[in-house]
Amino acid sequence: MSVLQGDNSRCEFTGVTFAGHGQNLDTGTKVVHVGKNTSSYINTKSISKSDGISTFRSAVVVGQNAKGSKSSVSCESLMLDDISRSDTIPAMDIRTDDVDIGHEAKIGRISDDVVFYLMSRGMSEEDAKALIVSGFADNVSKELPLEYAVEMNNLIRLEMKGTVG
Amino acid sequence: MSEQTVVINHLPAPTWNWLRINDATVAVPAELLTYVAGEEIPADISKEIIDGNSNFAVATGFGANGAKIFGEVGETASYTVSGNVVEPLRLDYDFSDGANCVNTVDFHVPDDSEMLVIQHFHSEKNGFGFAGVQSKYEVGKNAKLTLVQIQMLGDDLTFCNDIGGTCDESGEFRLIQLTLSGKQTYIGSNCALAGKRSCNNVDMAYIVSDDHVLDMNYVADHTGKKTACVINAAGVLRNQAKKVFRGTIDFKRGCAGATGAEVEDVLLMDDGVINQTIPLILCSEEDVEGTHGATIGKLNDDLLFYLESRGLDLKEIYEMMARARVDAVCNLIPDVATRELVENYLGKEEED
Repeated sequence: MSVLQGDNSRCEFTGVTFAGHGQNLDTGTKVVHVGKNTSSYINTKSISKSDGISTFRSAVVVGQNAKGSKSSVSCESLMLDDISRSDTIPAMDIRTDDVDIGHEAKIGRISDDVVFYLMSRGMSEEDAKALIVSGFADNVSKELPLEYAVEMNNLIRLEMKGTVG
Repeated sequence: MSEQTVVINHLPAPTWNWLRINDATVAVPAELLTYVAGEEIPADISKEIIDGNSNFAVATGFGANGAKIFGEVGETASYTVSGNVVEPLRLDYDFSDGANCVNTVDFHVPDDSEMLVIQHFHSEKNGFGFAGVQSKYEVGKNAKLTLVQIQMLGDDLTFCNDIGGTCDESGEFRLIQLTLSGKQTYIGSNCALAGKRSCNNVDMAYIVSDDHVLDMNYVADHTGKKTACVINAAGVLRNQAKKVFRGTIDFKRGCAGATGAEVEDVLLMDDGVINQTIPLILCSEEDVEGTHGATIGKLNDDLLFYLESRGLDLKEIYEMMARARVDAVCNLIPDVATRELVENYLGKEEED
C-alpha cells in the first residue's frame, strides 16, 4: 500500500504473477492519493495455467484534497487453459473533481495465428508459446536488473514445459 | 414508520471491506403496497395477472435479498408477445402520491419474436417516499427484448430498480437506461447468457446532483458458447452526489468464444462528489476476450482548449459535454415520443 502524502509525490507498481498447478495467487496494490498533484501508475500481468488461480485486486483512492492527481491502472491476464481461473477486481474511489483517472484491463488467450506464424518460422509449439508468454511479461522484465530478467524468462520457459500435447 | 435494512447489489467477488463497495444497504419501509402501473398494450402482446411474485426463477441484480423488497408483492403483471411487435409496450409509473409501493413485472419473449418495453418512472419534483420495481424476463431462441427505462423521480424519493432474466440461443436482451433524478436510486441487473450466441447490451446514462445517491450493479453471466455482452455507462456527478458503479463480466467454464466489454465514462463537475467504480472480469474459461475501461475526471485539456478557442466559456463547455453524455444514450431509444419526453425534461431542467 502506498500513501502519496506529499505534494507531487508519485508511485509505480509493476507486477507479474504466474499461477501454476495448485497455486492461488491473490495479489495487488492499494494507492491512496492525499497530496496535491500526486500520480500513480499500476501495471500488472497475470498468467494462469494448469488449474492455477490468479486474482488481481487494486484500490485507487483519491481524497478530497488531492487536486490535480493522476492515476493509470492497467491489468492484463492471459489464460493458458480452461481449467485455470483469472479474476481482476480493480476499485476506484474518487472524491474530488480535479483528477484524471484511467483504467483498462484485458483478458484473453494466446492467439492461434501468432503460434501458427512462429511455428511456420521453425519453432516448436512449446517454444512458440513460451516466447509469447515471455513477451507478455516483457514490460516487467525490462524493469528488472539483467540477471533477474534472465532468471524470470528461464522460469517462464520452465513453467511452460509440458504445456503442449 | 418502522423500516428494515436490506443489503443488495452484492459484488460477485468481494474486495476490501474498508472501500464499502462490496454491497449496498437500503432502508425499506416495513409495509409496502402493491403498485399497479398504467399501461398501453399493443395488439400482439397479451397480459396475465399472477398472484404474488413472478414465476420466473431467475437471478436478479439485487441478489437473493431482492425477495425482502419484492417478495410480498400482491400481484405480478406478466406480458407475453407473439411475433415481432414494433409498437412499444408502455408502462407508466407515477409515484407522485408518496406511497411506499412496489411493482413486479414479467416479460416473456418466445422464440423468433421481438418486444420493446418502455418503463417511465416519474413523480413530482418534490416527490418523496419509497418505490420499487422488479422486472424479470425470459428471451427465447432468436428473440429480442429491448427494455427502455427512463427515471425522472422526485428529490426525496428512494427507488429500487431490480432486473433479471435469461437469454436462450441467439437471444438478445438490450437495456437502455436514463437515470435523470431521484434521491437514492439502486439499480441491479443480472443477465444470464445461457444460450449459444446470446447477447446482452447495456447503455446507461445518468445525471446525479445535490446529495443524491446512485448505486448500480450490472452482471453479465456467460455460460453459453460465443455469448457477448457490452456494458456502457456514462454520466455526470454534480454537487455532493455519490455514485457507485459495479460492472461484472463473468466468464463461466464452458463459455468458449465469449466476448465481453465494459466501459465507464464519468464527468466530475464539482469538488464534493464521490465516485466509486469497480469493473470486474471473472474468468474460468480460456477461449474468451474480455476488456474493461474507465475514464474518470474532468475534461481533456486539448478538448477544453479547442472549445474555448471556438468562443465557449468553461461553464458552457461542461454543460454541453454533460448533456452530450445523456443525449448519446437518449438517441438510442427506438421511440420518438420517449426521446422527446427526455429532451423536454432536460430542457426544462436546464432552464431551472
